[in-house]
Amino acid sequence: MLLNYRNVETLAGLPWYALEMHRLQTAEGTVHRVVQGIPQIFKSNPCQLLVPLVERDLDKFTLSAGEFLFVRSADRHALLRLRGITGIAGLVTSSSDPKSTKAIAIDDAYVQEQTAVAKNAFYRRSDGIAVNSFVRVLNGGNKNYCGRVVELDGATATVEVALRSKVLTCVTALANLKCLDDVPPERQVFFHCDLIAGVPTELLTNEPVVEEEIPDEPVYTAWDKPGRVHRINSLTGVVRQIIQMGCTDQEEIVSRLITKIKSGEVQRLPVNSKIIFDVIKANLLAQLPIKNWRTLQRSAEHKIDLEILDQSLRDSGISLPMFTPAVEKRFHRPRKKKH
Amino acid sequence: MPSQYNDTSNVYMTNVADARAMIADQEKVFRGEALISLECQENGDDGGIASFIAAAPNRFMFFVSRLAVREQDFLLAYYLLNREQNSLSDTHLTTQTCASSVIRAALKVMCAFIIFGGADPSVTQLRAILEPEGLEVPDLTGFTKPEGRVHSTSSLFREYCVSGSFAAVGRKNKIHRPELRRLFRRVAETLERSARPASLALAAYIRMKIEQKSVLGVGDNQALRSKQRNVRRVDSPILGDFVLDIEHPDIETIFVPKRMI
Repeated sequence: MLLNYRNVETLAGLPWYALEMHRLQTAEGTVHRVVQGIPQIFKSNPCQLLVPLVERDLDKFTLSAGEFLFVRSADRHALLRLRGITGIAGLVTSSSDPKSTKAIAIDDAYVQEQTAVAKNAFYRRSDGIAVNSFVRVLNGGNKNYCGRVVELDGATATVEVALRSKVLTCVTALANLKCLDDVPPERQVFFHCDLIAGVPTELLTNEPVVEEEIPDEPVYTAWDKPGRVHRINSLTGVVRQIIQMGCTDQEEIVSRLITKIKSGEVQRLPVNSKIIFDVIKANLLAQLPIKNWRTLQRSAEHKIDLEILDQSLRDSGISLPMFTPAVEKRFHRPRKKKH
Repeated sequence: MPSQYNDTSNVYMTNVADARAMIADQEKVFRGEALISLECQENGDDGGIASFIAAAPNRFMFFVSRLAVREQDFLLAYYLLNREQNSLSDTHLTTQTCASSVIRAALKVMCAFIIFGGADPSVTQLRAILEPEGLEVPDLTGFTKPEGRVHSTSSLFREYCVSGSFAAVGRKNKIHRPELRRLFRRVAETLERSARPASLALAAYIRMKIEQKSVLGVGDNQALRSKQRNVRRVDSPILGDFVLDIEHPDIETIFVPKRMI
C-alpha cells in the first residue's frame, strides 16, 4: 500500500529509506500510528510511505521486506524524527548508534519492484470471489467479520454477515475482501479463524448443545392457563364485539349476549345485572356518535332498561341479582349536604 | 494491579516495553541503570480468557453456546476476531460502555456455566447455594398475599427460567408479578456481596435471566428487541485503493489496530 502525503511528484528521483519496526506482531498498529504521525512530523513537506504488504488476514500482516517499511521525503530531519513513533526503531543507518543520522539510501528501482509486488498482492487477494463466496472483510468498520457475498457491482461487493442475533449487511470494496472458499460449508461462520480449526462442527452451529434438562419439580409452563379471562372473552369484550359487528339495537344486543353467555363465551359473569346493563350502555355510547344516554333512548326503536334486562336474563335461566348489597347500599346512599 | 496489565501478549504494554527498550542502551544495562518494567515480566497470570480460548477452544465454544445469542455475538467477535468494543457497539446499536458491560457480564455468566457443569442449574443446585445465604425462603412483601403457602426462591426461579414469564410464575404461585421480579433482583444483589464463587456465579446467572427481559410477556424487552434489528453498513471506497492520500478523511479506517486484550 502506497501512502502519499502532499504533492509527491516533487519526490521523483529521491532515494528511499528503510524504516524498521520493533515487532511484526504489532505492525498494523505501528503503521496506523505512522500514518497518524506523518502530518505532524512533515508539516508541509511531501512524503511517501510504502507498506509492502503481501499477505493479509486475521492476525496476519506479512510484509515482503520483513520488518521494514520504505519512506522518502526531501526533509531528512523529519525522516529521522519518525523513530519517535511508538513501535518504530528508526531508519536503517550505517552505524550501530541508534542516534546516527547516516541513513542508508535504497535505490528507487528496488522499491518500485516491491511496490509492484505489493500492488499485485493487494488486488489478487480478492481473486475468485463470486456471488455466494465465503469471504472475510479485511479493513474498515466491519473488519474481520466473515460472510457471504450476495451482490457484486463492479469493484463493490455486498456481504451478508450472519451474526447469531442479526444479519449485518456490509457494502465494501471488492479488494477489501479475502476469499475463503476453501472453508467447508458447515464451518462457514462469521467468527471463522484458526483458533477454532479443531472445534467440532456441532459446536459452531447456533443450536443449543445440551437439551433443556427436565426440572426437578413439575412447573407451570402454559401461558394460557385454563380459566384465565382474556380481554376478548370478558363481558366488555363480548359486548364490544357485538356492537362492532354492526348491531346497535338494544334488544338484539341483549339477546345475542345471552346466547354468548349460555355458550360459555363470556368466561366470567359479573356479580349483578346492573353491571351488564352499564357495560352495554357504556359501549353503545362509546361506539355511537350520540354521547347522551337519554338522547339515545329517545331515538332507539327497542329500548331496554335495567328491569327489562334483568327480566330477560331470568327468562333465559341466568340468575343474577339486580344489585349486590354493597352496590345497593352505595346506590341509595343520600348525598352529604355541604355546610 | 489488574491481571490484564501483566499480560505479555498485551499490545499496548508490548509497545511500552519496546519504547523502554529503545531508551535503554547497552552501557546503561551493564551499569545496572536499565529500567525494567513490571509489565514485561513473565509472572503468574497469563492472559485470563485469551489463554483459556487458546488452550481449550472446544470448551470455550461449548460454554459460549449456553449464552443468549446477543452475548454470543459479542464474545465471539471480541475474543476470536479481535474486534474493538467501539466497532461492536456500532454493529449492535449500542454504546461502547454498554458493549463493555455486556462482555463482562457474559464472561461472568460463562464462568457460572463452568461452575454449574455447562447446564442450567437445577432446583437442587440453586437450593444448595441459596440456603447458606439465607435466601431460600423469599422475603415477599407489598401486594403479595401468600395465603399460607410456603414459597421457595429456588423453585420460583427455576419456574421462571422454564416459562420465561414473570406473569405466569406470579399467577401460578399467587405472587404479585413486580414483587417476583424485585425478589430475584434482591437475591442477585445479596449474592453479589458474598465471597463464595458459586454465589457470585449464581448472581451473574440470575442477572442474565432477569435483566432486559419483558415484564409482561416472554423474552427480551422492547428496548433490547429494537437493538436486534438487522443493520447495513457502507464502507469508504478508499478501502479498494492501493495508493492512498494520508490526508483523506477516511484514512482512519485503514490499518485499524487490533484491540488490546
